[in-house]
Amino acid sequence: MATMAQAIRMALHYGETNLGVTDIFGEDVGPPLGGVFTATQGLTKTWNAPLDERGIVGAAIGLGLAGNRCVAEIQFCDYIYNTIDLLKIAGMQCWTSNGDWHLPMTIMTPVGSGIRGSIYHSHSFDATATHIPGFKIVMPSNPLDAYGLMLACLKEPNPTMFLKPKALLRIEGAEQIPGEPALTAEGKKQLKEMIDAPLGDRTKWKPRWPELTDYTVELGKAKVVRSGDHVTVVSYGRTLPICAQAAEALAGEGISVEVIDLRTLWPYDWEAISSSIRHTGRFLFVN
Amino acid sequence: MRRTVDELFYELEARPRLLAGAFVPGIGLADNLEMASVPQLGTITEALREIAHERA
Repeated sequence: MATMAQAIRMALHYGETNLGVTDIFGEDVGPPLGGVFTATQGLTKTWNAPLDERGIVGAAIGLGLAGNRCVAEIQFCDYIYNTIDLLKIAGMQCWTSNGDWHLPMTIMTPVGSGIRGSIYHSHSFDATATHIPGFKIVMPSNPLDAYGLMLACLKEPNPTMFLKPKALLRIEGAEQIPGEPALTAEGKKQLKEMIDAPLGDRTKWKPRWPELTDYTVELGKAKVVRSGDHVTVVSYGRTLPICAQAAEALAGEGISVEVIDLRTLWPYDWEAISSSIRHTGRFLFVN
Repeated sequence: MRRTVDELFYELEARPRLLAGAFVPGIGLADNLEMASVPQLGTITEALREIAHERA
């Protein structure tokens, strides 16, 4: 019953220990806070960056070109806009070097509405992100996909962007992440005791990580969350669970809705989308 | 959306729809502003119902 924040944390731990992640950094990413949404608590490769988003992205580019693999966080996507030029440069590396230089880096950032965050904590960066060439862009809608998509990003040789839907970071998953305690109240409590930093003084705290295993969600592959025949609805992130709820409600009225979770925004799974629309003949996109 | 209309136009039985956040500089702090700015359960359900009932 990991929350999405815990799932991301576990994926980053797996990345540190198995996938060669050398740096995880950003504002308040390192100790003592471990991330404003707790997604980087207890990790060993974390450090706090200065309040300088262009410095964060620039450092990620430099680390990647020097052979390291890093995860750089922009604390809220509202602050990412002044780094667009650097993101463009990062995305261009493989193309401009004709495939000679890869740049393994992941930018992660919370996006979207849902916490009444007003003008500096609610922006939606999804559409803009998908127009930066050279990046693969993902956004999970549940903890298991968050874990799997993060591992996919950490294995990717070129830049990726992991967009965290902030409205869902505290939502618990219905599917078990491989290795996490059982999906029971006791398992939830056990996981919290193992990997959540205590309130107050945490200088002596060390996490006890579960025996996590590899679970990778292939980039560019959508998921049919619910099969249906009458209408196709395609969504991702915060609005995906709401679409599933709507489909459930409409089933009672005899309307069969097929719900597709994009998971990867770029490159998106056109085969899944088009196949579904050919089947139903009717569609709605929600974002 | 564009690609769907471009490549699947003749396979469609109803007008395609996009339900997206309002084009405003930011979501307001107040609950009612948040609810009015981005798709909610009610608006999504209504849109799906409308599409399902639209005559081919």
